[in-house]
Amino acid sequence: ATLKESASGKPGDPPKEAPSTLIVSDTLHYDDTKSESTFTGNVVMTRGLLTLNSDVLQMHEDKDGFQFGTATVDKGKRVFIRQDRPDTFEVLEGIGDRAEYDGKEEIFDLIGHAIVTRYICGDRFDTINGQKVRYHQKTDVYEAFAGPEAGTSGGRVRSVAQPRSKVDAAIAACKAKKTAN
Amino acid sequence: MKERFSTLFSIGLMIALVLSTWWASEYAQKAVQIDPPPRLTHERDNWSEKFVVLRTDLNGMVIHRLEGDLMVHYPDDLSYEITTPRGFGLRRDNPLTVATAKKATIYDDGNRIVMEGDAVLLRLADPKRQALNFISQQITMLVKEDITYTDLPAIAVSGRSRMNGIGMRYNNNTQQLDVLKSTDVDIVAKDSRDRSTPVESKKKP
Repeated sequence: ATLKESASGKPGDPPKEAPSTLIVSDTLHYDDTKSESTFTGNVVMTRGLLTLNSDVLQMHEDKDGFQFGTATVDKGKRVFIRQDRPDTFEVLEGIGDRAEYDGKEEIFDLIGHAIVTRYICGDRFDTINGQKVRYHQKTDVYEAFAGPEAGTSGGRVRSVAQPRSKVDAAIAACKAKKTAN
Repeated sequence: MKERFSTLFSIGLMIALVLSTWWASEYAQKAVQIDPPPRLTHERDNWSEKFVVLRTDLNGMVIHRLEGDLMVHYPDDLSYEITTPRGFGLRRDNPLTVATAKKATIYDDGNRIVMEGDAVLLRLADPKRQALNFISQQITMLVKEDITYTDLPAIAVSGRSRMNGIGMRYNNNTQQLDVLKSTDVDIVAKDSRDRSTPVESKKKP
């Protein structure tokens, strides 16, 4: 089963300049013959308003120069992803056993016990659990897929979504609070 | 009794002869200074200006070229010190490399070269790879192994991406780069124009 949730991206927006990718880690092994980098130890990857934390991050570049990455963590830990959306006062936070990143399509996959939570003005609103949660950076849409490692009963997708009106009210209240400050 | 005495006497005579011969040779060596001992202080004993040194492989192909403004040799550690060195890695099956710095010191019969002061190693681009640029205040090059490394902060630039770190090691045989500590990498995305539409030619005003 898949569940799609779209955010407020306005159609017709001019294509945003692709942000550069900043990666900080303890060590790096770069194989120039294959354009492959392996970052190890306290890895923090930042790409635009998106941040990823993991123990190991393997990145490779295709011939067109697009980046593809796989983030993994040591046993008992989770990969953490955070996407800020300041224009709607939202923050998306996701955790999972593993994360995969496709720079060409600008897609992030959280795989294995994946949980994505949406916060508005710091308050938790929507939550999605699944075997895999896919986040489309370009369109701000996220999808969830069922599977044996969903971490939910029967491996099904589980979603808690607040009514649209409540979301809009929270955004309006947050906007008022921000303008008041 | 008489024979024993004569035997002992001749043995004693032989021993005396040996000792005196040994003493005489020792005395002679000390008395005449054959060649002065090498001066083992760190003072230059020979030097050359505007030099070029070439190293070839067994087939006579040049694999390494080193040039500079001044090269000075020191007898105590058999090292060479070079001012404004320029080193060229010219092995046929490895990418070409160019190394420059303010100063270089050569050890181990030319196998270990320590480049100091704005040291730069440039691995030239080739059809498969972009150029790789490696900058630090000190870079050590192992010529035979074709390996370059530093323990100091260093910056590696490949295309438009940039890698900072403390301690780097680059193997030109396998083209593998290791950053040993505090990695900080900035991978610049390609221009969005590159990817989507071809660039229109600029209209002349």
